[in-house]
Amino acid sequence: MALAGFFDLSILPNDSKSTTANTSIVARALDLGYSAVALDHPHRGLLADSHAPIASSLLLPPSASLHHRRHPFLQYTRITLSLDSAAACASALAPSAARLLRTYDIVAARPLTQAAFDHLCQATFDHLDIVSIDFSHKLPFRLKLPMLKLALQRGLHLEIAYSPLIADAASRRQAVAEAKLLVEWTKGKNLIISSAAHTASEIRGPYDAINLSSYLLGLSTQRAKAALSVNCRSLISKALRKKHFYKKTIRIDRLLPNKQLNSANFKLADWIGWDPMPHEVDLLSLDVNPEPSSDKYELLSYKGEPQSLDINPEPSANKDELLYLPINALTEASSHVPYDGDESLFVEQQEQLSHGNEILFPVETQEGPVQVSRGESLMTCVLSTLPASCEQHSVATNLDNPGNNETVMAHDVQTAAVSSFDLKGIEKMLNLCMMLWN
Amino acid sequence: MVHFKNRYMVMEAFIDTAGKGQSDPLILTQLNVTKAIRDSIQINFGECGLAACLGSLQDHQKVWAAITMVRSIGKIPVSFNLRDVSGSIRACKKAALECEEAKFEYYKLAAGDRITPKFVETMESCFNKIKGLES
Repeated sequence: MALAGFFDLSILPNDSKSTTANTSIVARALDLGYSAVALDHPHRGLLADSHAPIASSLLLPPSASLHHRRHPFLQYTRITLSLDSAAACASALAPSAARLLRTYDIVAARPLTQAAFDHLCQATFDHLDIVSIDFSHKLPFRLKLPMLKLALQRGLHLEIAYSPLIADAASRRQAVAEAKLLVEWTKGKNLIISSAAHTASEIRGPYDAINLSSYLLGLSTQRAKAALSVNCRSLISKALRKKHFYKKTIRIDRLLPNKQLNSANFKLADWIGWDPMPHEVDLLSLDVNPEPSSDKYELLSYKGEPQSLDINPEPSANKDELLYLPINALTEASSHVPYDGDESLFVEQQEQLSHGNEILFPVETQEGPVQVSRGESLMTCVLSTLPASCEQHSVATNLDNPGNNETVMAHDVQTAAVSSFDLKGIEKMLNLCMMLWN
Repeated sequence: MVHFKNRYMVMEAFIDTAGKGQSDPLILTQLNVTKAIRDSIQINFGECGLAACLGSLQDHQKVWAAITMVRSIGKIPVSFNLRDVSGSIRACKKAALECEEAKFEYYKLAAGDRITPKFVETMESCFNKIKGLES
C-alpha cells in the first residue's frame, strides 16, 4: 500500500500497567502502518509541575525493523484537559499555564459542559490545538453550528475517536448519532480521527479506520483519509511551530556544548524534512553553507566578508536528498533509515559543535533571505557561520510553511517570497552572530 | 449499467493471547471466522443488512466495516487489519504471499537457530495453500 503517512493522535498509555503493555500498543500501531502516534495523558483539574511528561517516547521492540521504512516512527506527547466550566477553561489554558503546556507537543481540551464547549470555541487560546469530544457517552451539551464555525475559523481541530465505534453496542449507537452531526457540520474540515485506544486490540489499521468512519459517519473517503493524514500533519506542524518557533516562522535551536543533539531536539527537524506527501507539500531550501568542500553547492563567494558564503537557492536537484537531511539525526538513534554518507552533511555539521552556549538568535523576519523557486513552500534556511578558527558554531534557522491553505502562516513569510537574495540581511545576521560570539 | 464486480480482501488477524493467560491458542478456521463476521454484520446492520450482504456480496464497504468491528472470536480478542483489496483473486494471492513471506523472513531472523524443521514445513504448506487458490 502506498505510504501516505497516517497518524494516530490519541493513544492512551496506561500509567498503572507495565510498560510492556504500553509498548505493545505503540508496536501495534507501527505494525498497522501508522507513521506517528501521540501518547495521550488525560488530565483533570489544575496542572502542576509534576504533570510534565515523564517518558516522552516508548522504546520499540526489535520487530520494528520488520518495517523497512523510509521514515522514522515518531511519537508525540499530548495532554487532554477535561474542562467543566468556562472558568476552568480560562485558568487551565491561561498564559500562566503556558510553561507546562509547552512541555507537551499537542494540547487538547475536552469540554464537559455547554459553557466549557462554548468558551473553547469562542475564546482564543494560544496553546490549544484540539477540541476533543468524547462520543462514547451521551453528550452533556449540544453541538451548535455557529460555535463550531467559530472554532473552525480559528483553526482549532476537532477530534473524533473511533474506539467507541468498535466498542459495545450502546456506545456505538451513541457515537454514530452524535459524531455524524459533527461530521455533517464540519464537512470533514479540520477534523481528525484517532483511536483513543487503551489496549492494542482497539487499534485498527488506517484503511480500516477510513472505511469505518466513511461508512458509518458519512464522510467521503477522501475526507476520511485526510482526517487521518493531512489534517493531523498540518495540526502537528502548526502546534510545533507555535512551540518552537520565534514568531511561528524562525526556529531557534539550542546548541549545547560537547553534546550530541538528542532526538528530542530534532523532532521538529524531522518533521520539516520528513515529507510523506511530496506532491502536496514542496520544499524550498536555502543553504548558506560555508564549507567549500561540499561540491553539490554552487560556490558564491563575495568580497568584503570574512566568510565565504555558499548559497544554494535551489532545492538540491535530488529532492530525496533534501528530504533526508534532517532525518539523519534520528537515524543515529534508530537505524531504520538507510542513508548515504553524503546526506549526513547537515547532521555532521550540527554535531561538530564543540563550543557554544545557547544561542538565541533574534533574526528579523522582514529581511526575507529567501529565494522562491518552483512555487514551493516549505523553507529550510540553514545559516551557518564558521569563524575560520577552530571554534565552530552554527545557527540553524528554519522557515516552515507546509502548503496547506488553512494553515496560519504569518504574513512575514509571504513577504519573504521575493526573488532576490537579500545579502544585507544575511550580513546583518552574521555580524550579530559574531557579536554574540565575542 | 456497470458490470457487477467482486471484491476480494486480504485480511490479517491479530490475536491477543497476552491478557487472558495462555489458556488455549485460538485456531482460525473458515467456520469461526465466517461466524464472527456474520454475527458482526447482524449486530450492526441487522437481519436485512445480513441478507443483502450474503445475497449479492455487493457493498463491500459494509462487509469491511463489519469486519473492522469484530472484536473477538469466541472469547479471545482478535482484530482484523486489511492488507489488500482488489477485484481479482490473483492480485490478492500476490499480496497475501508477500505479507506471509515478509513475516516468515522476520520470524526466521528473530528465532535464529530455534526454528524447527516442522515449523518450516508448516509454513511451506501455508505458502502452497495460498498459491493453490483458484485464480
